[in-house]
Amino acid sequence: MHAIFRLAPLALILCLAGPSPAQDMDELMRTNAIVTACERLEHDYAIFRDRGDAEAFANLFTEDGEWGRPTTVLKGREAIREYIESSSAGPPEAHLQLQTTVQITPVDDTTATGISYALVLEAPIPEEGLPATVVGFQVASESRSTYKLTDEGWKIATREYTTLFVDPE
Amino acid sequence: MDMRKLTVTVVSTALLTSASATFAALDDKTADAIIIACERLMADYAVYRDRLDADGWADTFTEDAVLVLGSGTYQGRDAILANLASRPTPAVAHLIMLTSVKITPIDETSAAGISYAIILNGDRPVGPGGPPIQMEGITSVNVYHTEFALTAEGWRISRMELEPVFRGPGLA
Repeated sequence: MHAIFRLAPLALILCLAGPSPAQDMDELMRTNAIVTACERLEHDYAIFRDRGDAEAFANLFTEDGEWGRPTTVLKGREAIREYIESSSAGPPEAHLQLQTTVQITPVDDTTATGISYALVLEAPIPEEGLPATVVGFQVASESRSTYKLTDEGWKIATREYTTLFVDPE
Repeated sequence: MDMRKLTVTVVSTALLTSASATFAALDDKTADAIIIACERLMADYAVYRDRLDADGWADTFTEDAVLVLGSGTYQGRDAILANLASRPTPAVAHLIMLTSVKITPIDETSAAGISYAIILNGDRPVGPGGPPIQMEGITSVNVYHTEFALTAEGWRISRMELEPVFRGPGLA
């Protein structure tokens, strides 16, 4: 029998067996690494925003990253940095963006998408200092993001948010 | 390969190749994979529920799952799907805001979870760019007691029981 016919059943078995367990584990680890990296971006987003750290906040985005509502979109790190600087210029306020549900969906090795919810507490800091007083939350929003793997690591490429609930005051 | 199918393959392989698979302590890689898979299931549960994605929501459960809500007990994926599919669309603004999510792997095929969530329930839809709903506080805070199982489809919720803990002044 020709060698190719003797090897055919083995080749068929190997094809049906699919990737080896080691390859599977490697792929699972890569997927989980993407999920973890994007979840960390979500937490950095909240903390840098709360601290008014415009430089760090802007650097969460890709160089040409887009951020905003459907009606108003800031394009590029410079525009995002300037917006955060200007919004931090008023009287001192306590601001906490509580990131809650985060759903990350890896698309491929360099792209992922995400949906995340945030509950924002905001109040003027009294003269005597913290804690500030709140009765309810300021806003609750949903963000829809795409993430990209860049030379600087995972970054937010686009982020659009919708405010669903707002305090009447 | 789909992440959940991948999890099945990896964990099943671990089961077959480990001499003491059932009762031995899980290795770190397997435990971490289970935790991430179940955390992702909880996020899927919340997002699909909020968007009234009945198929996506039902697919987070096992075929014979039990879901215990304030409105009743739903046995099986079909009953769970019907619960969400019967609600009017478009969905009113609704957010299940998960906070603490603790997953405890039990063995290679089962895990348990306790999750906290703040619930905001509006009285009308809010589309992208639409006016937000004015609300004076949260609607409620719930605890989700959850059991997870590894199935041929990947990790799924096999039982979930909602425990309402706080009721707020927000719309319900």
